[in-house]
Amino acid sequence: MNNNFRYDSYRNPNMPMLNQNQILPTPSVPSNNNLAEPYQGFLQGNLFNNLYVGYKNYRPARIVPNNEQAELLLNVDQLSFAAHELNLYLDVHPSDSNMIALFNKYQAMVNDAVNEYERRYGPLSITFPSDRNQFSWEAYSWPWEVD
Amino acid sequence: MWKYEKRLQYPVSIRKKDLAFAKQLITQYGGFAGELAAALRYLNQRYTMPDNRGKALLTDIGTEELAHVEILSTMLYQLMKDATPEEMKAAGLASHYAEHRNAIYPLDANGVPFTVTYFATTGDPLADLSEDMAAEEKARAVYESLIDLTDNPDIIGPLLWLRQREIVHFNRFKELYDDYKKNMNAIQPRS
Repeated sequence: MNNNFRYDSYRNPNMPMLNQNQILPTPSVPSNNNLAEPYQGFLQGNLFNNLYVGYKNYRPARIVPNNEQAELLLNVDQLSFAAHELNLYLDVHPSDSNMIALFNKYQAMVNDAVNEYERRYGPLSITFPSDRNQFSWEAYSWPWEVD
Repeated sequence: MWKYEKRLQYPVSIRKKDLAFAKQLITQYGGFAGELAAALRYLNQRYTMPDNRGKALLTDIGTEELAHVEILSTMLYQLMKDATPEEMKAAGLASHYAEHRNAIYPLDANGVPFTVTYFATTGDPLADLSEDMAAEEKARAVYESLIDLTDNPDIIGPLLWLRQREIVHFNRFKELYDDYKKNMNAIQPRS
């Protein structure tokens, strides 16, 4: 599963970031303009643009999926990351209702993305029901493996 | 209770074996500023946080650090995969091979095994959170040193990403620290 993407342009300051529309459906624009979109936030490892601090002239690696499985997994990864970033924010600021609404929205999108991935490419979580003749959980590759 | 998801928090695919770099990178698994120390530090400190914000933040960041342990472990596994004893020896990893073959094991860059003395738990939320902020800064600094030591994009991508997580975590800890400090009287343990 892990050879299905490549890193790109991590060091080229002139390379424009990939617009999320080019590969994935875009969630609606966050109300807080400090917030990056899930794809961009995931790539930079930081959903909060005001907290982002780069290192030297490096740009975040762009992750380019090479097939449908990698694309669906990237969708799970980026939406889960966005929800997780809001989770950490809300731990400290538990009464921010705009952020709660956005968290709920991203979390619902995570659930859809996980279902779509698992339906085609096997379980991400043990809660996924197994086929009658094969325990799906152990049947698919593990995340540290290279194909 | 924890639940495992069968995916990395950030993808890793290192195509080229690099034992010399694995020997340095291993410190972010089992060294003083490593992810294992981070996970245990936060998950151990969370019980005595004075309010639910502290309990939630340390639980959630501690859990994320476990995902970072997995990212580091994956990087190390891929960097050392299929290395022969001769290659391990040439890279200064003969002692690693003797004890662990090609398996990963939490060590620092000098081969010193992981120890819980890398972190403290004082029961004082201000002391614990300021340790956590320092730990995030130290980890950020070590990631920068590691980035300086390689030109492989398959390695730099995940290291840049992990470095950025240290920055986010630092800020969250600092927000909580500043708020606790401001309201210190209100958060003293009731006796």
